Amino acid sequence: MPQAVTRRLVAAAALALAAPALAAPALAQAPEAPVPRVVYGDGARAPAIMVDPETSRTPGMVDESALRYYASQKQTARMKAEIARLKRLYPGWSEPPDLDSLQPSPPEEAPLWDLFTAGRLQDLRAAITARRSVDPAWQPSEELARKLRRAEFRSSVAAASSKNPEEIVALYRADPGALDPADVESIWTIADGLAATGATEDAFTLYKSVLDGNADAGARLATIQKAMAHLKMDQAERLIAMGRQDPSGTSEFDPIRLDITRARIAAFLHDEPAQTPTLPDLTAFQAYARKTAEPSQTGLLGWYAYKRRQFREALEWFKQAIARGGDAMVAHGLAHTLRELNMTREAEEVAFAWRDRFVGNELLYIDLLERKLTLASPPFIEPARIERYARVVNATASGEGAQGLAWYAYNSCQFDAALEWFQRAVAWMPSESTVFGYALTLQRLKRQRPYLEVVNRYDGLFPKVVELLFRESQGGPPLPCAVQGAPPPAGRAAPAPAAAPRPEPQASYGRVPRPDAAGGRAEAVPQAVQRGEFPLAVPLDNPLRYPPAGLAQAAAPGSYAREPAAPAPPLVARRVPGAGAMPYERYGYALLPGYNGLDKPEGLGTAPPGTLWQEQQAERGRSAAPESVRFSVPARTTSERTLPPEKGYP
Amino acid sequence: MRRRTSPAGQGRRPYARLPAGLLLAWLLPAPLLLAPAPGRAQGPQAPQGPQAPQGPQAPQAQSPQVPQPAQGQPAERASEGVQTAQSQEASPVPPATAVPGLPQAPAAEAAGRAAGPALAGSLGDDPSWRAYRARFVTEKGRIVDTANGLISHSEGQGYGMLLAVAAGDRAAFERIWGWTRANLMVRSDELMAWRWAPDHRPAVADMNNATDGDILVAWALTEAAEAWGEPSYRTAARRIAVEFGRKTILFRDPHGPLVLPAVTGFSARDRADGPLVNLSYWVFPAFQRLSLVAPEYDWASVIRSGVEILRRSRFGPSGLPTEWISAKEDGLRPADGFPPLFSYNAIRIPLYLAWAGIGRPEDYAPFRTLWGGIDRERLPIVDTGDGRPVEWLSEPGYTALPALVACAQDGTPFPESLRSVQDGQNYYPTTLHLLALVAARMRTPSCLKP
Repeated sequence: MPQAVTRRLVAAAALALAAPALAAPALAQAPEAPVPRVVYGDGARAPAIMVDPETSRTPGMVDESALRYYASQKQTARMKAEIARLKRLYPGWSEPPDLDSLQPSPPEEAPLWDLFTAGRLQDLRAAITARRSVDPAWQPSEELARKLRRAEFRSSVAAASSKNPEEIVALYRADPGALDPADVESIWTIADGLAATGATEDAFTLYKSVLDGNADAGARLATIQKAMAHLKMDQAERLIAMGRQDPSGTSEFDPIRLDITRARIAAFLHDEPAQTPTLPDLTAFQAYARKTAEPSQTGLLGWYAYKRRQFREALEWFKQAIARGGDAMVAHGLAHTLRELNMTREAEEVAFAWRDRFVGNELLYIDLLERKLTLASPPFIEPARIERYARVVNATASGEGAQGLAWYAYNSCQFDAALEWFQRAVAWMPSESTVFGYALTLQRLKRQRPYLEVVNRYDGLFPKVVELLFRESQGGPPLPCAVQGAPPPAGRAAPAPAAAPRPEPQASYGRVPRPDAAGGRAEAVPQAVQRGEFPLAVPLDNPLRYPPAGLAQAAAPGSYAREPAAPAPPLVARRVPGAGAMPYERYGYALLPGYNGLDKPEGLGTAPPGTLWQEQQAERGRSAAPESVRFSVPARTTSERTLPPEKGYP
Repeated sequence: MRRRTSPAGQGRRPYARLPAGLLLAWLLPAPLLLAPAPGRAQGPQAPQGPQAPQGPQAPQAQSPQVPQPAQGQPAERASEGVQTAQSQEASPVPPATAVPGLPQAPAAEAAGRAAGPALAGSLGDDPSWRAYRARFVTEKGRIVDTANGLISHSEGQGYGMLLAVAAGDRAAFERIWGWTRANLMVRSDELMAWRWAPDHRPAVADMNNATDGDILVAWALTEAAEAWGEPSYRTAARRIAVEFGRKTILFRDPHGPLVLPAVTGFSARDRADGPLVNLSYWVFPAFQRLSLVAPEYDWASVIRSGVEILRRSRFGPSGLPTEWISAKEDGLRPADGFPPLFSYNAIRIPLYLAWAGIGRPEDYAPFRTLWGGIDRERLPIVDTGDGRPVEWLSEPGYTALPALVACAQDGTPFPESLRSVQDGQNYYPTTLHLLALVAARMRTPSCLKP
């Protein structure tokens, strides 16, 4: 279960889960209701019951056709008997007010009514057309015309219900009057379609019309569930508030309060306005979640606690969810919770174990260990852990992971390994810090030509890389590993890290200035950069490539374009918007204007207002938490889709 | 159909995403972003010049050997690794917690039901792709914009990757992606620098991103991961998609989610008429598929907002959207400082609509009216102020766009002349032509039946 399952999915699943429970009482009370029947009143000719057997099962739809027929024929006794029957079947129902005014249909319409009764709407339409071609003045009775229009509308809505919501909405918009206010099934279909196409207020109005009408209790509950599935929760809340209350103050929607609570939790997880679940409701939901075998429910409570930063509680819920077979998203929540609890070692294990099932776990695994590898004072990491990390980094071609390993190797004086990892990192993610590390390693390994090539290639782009040429010391302060001797041979068991007291290396770090620098140069004189070092004409594209291991190198038939012949590479850098000032600018050297005319150094600016990025930064500012933005938590996922819909809750 | 050398249309696709007016915003003081990416390596611990070492560092004895990447590591020790690691941890994770439970549908598989048909293989073994490759894809994997000083950009790389997936050409895909990441992934985040000029020092010309390029590349990687099961493509797709979702989409805007054209330069803070949007950056078919890698975002709502903005951006007598639109107010309007043109960018809007199979007939109507006239051999650039053409796009590849729209809306068969790509055209019309063919094959293949 994700931090926030798509609310629609939650509610849809909830609806699926709840449907049997809702339908059951209605069926018990009305055993004959689902059976489509045709009732003939007056001899053979008079139709009485709606025809579509598919939709006549609709719960909550009271079929008044027979009643209206008897009323129109002024058959008062039968009418009264039908009213009594319907009241027995549908306790909340009361007879429509317009029965007295119904006009009897003319006898010559009998064959047409027969067609209607049989559900042969197309034939009926054809018969009307045929009749009118003979007798243009003839019109079907108002009753027949209205019923035909609504029945046609109803069947076209039903036919479109599995298709594009745009089509359903177009049907409705073309003739809103054709929607029978008592046809709850069509109302739901259309409202769902309206909501799916963004017309949420219209959808709301339709859902509300069910609550305003005479629909039975089951249909009213189902309407709330539909609304929670398809509307924003604050709109659904307006419908929930319409619930009738019994004298004890209990809402008629109490039977689905678990669903309502679930939807409120989901809305909270999406930062959408909704009522906060009351303590009794939340307690009831927690009890239900504990009892059910469904890990998505405990997982939901895990994300709920996580979002409220109740990480201990979140841990308990996520653990329960995992124990019940929770999926990779539950594991993702667990790993993030462990990370928040500073149990990063455990978080790493969880993310690693679940890396194949959700790519987010893989990235979390890479990022968790990358952080440790690049700490100013990297912790001891067991060889086996590093090896498995290296495998994942290679398999995922992760630039982040590669530079993490590279820095770790560099900081422990394993320069050959550092170089190879930096090469991969620069092939996959040549950002400033990665290229800087690469250049630094080349320099340390005295690979002068490739080093100069890299520095020159990124002239104008990465000040820190170019700075390598301009700083006083080459190589900087010695690394602790260099001070203390050679690194241990590979594979040797490392000593226990935590127990051993750390040596105090600071004292040995006094940096001896180089002789020419110690002489005290004037401030604005450039460092002695060798003429042969900078600027050099170098190829300006990055040639490093490390394709995935599984890639067959056999080229498909055909050929590629030749790289266009370029003039000699330029020696003076252009200004790049978003890159900082170059170190040599402080000595008065200038860059050419950028492609857009920019001639001053300029950064990239900060987070645009309205982005999630800006929110995350603001949040971090408030909590004074460290920058951990890469550990962003999904706001919603699809894991709920794996929920088998047939699973019910008690 | 021999207008390919028309002086007006030929090639001069003004690729200036950042017009002069924008420079003002760019010159505002802004902190130099030289710090490492948030959450990324806290800066190298390499020597930083004259400064004291920062506290105790790990003694070398505690730094185990880092395996060199070239060494083939036996892969079967994954679970063993868990055990090994746990045995050395003070507070191991209970195995029941750390180890996956019963086999179940992987999340990626569950998400695999994202709407929309798959792109992979849709181009079949089309000789047009091989011709495209031989003309625009260099040996190194760079897509050359032949009409723009032979530069490259993230958009072109994205299109090239999409077409390679559609053609089932994995080797070419890897080449293009390999070049893309090695040369454009220079920012401190997961997005790409958008512009690369081969004869400039440095070759990256702008550190800003172009969100459509990021979207296209993430989409192509997603399709490639689906088609070839390559984990590194999925990993990269997710990194990019999560990042542009986070940095360039205004999910809570009153208009619905807005796609900022770039991280820098278009927001309400950057411009008086901001936020600015470009409707052709709503790559609708991409949004139908990105939930495969970034399920946490509500991509469907991004599609809806794009269609809604299109419906509300019918400017002037032609009822066409401009390239750049100000979404500052409730009412949308052409952005300040840009000519109010329906031009190179916006012609892609109906391409993406038809490719995604979305939109109502009336959404296509202004384009069909514009393109259904007598002049079927070239596309007009329209000044939406008076609805008149100001220039013509005369390379024949462009006319695949009207053909696609007619195909998607009426089932009109593709003209024979447009069923394969003609030689000698520039990057942009050729690319659009191939993309339209892919879209037709995915959505309405009947238009391409003989």
